[in-house]
Amino acid sequence: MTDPSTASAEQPIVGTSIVLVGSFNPAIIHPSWFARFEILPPSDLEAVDTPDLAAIVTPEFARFAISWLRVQVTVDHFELSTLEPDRVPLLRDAGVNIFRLLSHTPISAMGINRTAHYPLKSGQWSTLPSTLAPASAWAPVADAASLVSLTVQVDRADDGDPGFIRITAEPSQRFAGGLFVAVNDHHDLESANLHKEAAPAVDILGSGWSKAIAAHDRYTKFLIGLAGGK
Amino acid sequence: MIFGQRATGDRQRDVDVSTLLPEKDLANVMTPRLVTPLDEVQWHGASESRRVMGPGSESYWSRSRLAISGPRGIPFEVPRGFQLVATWDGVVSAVTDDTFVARISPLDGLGAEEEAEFLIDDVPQEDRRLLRPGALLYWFLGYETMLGRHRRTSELKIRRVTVVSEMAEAWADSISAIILDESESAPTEG
Repeated sequence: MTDPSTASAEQPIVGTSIVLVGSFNPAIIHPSWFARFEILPPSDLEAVDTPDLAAIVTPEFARFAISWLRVQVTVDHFELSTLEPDRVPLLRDAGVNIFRLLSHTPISAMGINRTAHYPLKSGQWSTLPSTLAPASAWAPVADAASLVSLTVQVDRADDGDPGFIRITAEPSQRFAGGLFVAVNDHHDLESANLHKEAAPAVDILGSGWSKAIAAHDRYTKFLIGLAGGK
Repeated sequence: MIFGQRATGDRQRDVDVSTLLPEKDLANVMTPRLVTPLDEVQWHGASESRRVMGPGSESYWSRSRLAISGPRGIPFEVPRGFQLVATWDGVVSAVTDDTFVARISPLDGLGAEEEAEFLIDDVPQEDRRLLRPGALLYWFLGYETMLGRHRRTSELKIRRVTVVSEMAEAWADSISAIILDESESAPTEG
């Protein structure tokens, strides 16, 4: 019989999050508000009553989690995240619904972020530094240099929105010899958001979501390819 | 077995989704069938004609744990692996007593729009009141591995679209006021 923990151990672990920067009121981020306005279905919210997932709601900080969604809010950050691949579209919907309701929330920036750990075959990670940041470049000043983290910033040329995309590659802490990739699709909403409301963020979540997810996949596939994986 | 009901053209053939997936373990899985012109379907990605979403034509996995009760009611957790194979989104076009019809297309935009009919029984009970023409949905297909068993899963979710109203913000304000009151009246250390 296959050990399920072994069976899944070699599969990528992918997390997706929406991070908003602005001015928030954590005190309203209560599960009952999510239930009252049907942002989440009742069966999802029932789990909030379990001890491990108990909600914490204070004027400065709010946090609760359900089986697939984690919500954490401070006065200047609002984060929704999931590790479940079949809940990524629902994560987007939750973000859209929350800020349609809280439409007067001032939001200055938003990130659509993905992090992923990928198992690689033995030795494949080592091919990445030799391509992206070869140790030989450091030879004049260091005998032994190794790549710990590399972040590349690219323009979001296709939509022209203010902001950038940052791709970080590191050795995975979850898979020995594996690859960790983080993609931060950052939207600067300050300049285009004269009224400092939530609508621009909602618009991007609505129209730019698939593009952001596809971009993450493209960058990740590129890095895996550089490492000799597939 | 439910059949799609796309209505035009002789060149169309029924496409059973199960034939497009390599695994044949259909236990406990609903099997709606899509009806679409085969030459319009763009099944792409990995081998075995399997639509695979994700980097490198691999699929996404997540690792979560399912809490269940064991002997004598002692809870324990088992690891669950989930591999997402495909996601469609769609719009409900008609609802009958037992079934509904939706126009669906791959969420990644890399495939043709199709029409499919689903059993209402396959919609979570709490979502059924949202089921009406015009309702939006997601349809997830994947594989779940748990306790050594690998099985195909299929899930329909009717999307929740909030209705913006003054009441929503008023409700938010009232919750906020309660929290603030509780916070201010809480005993302080010192």
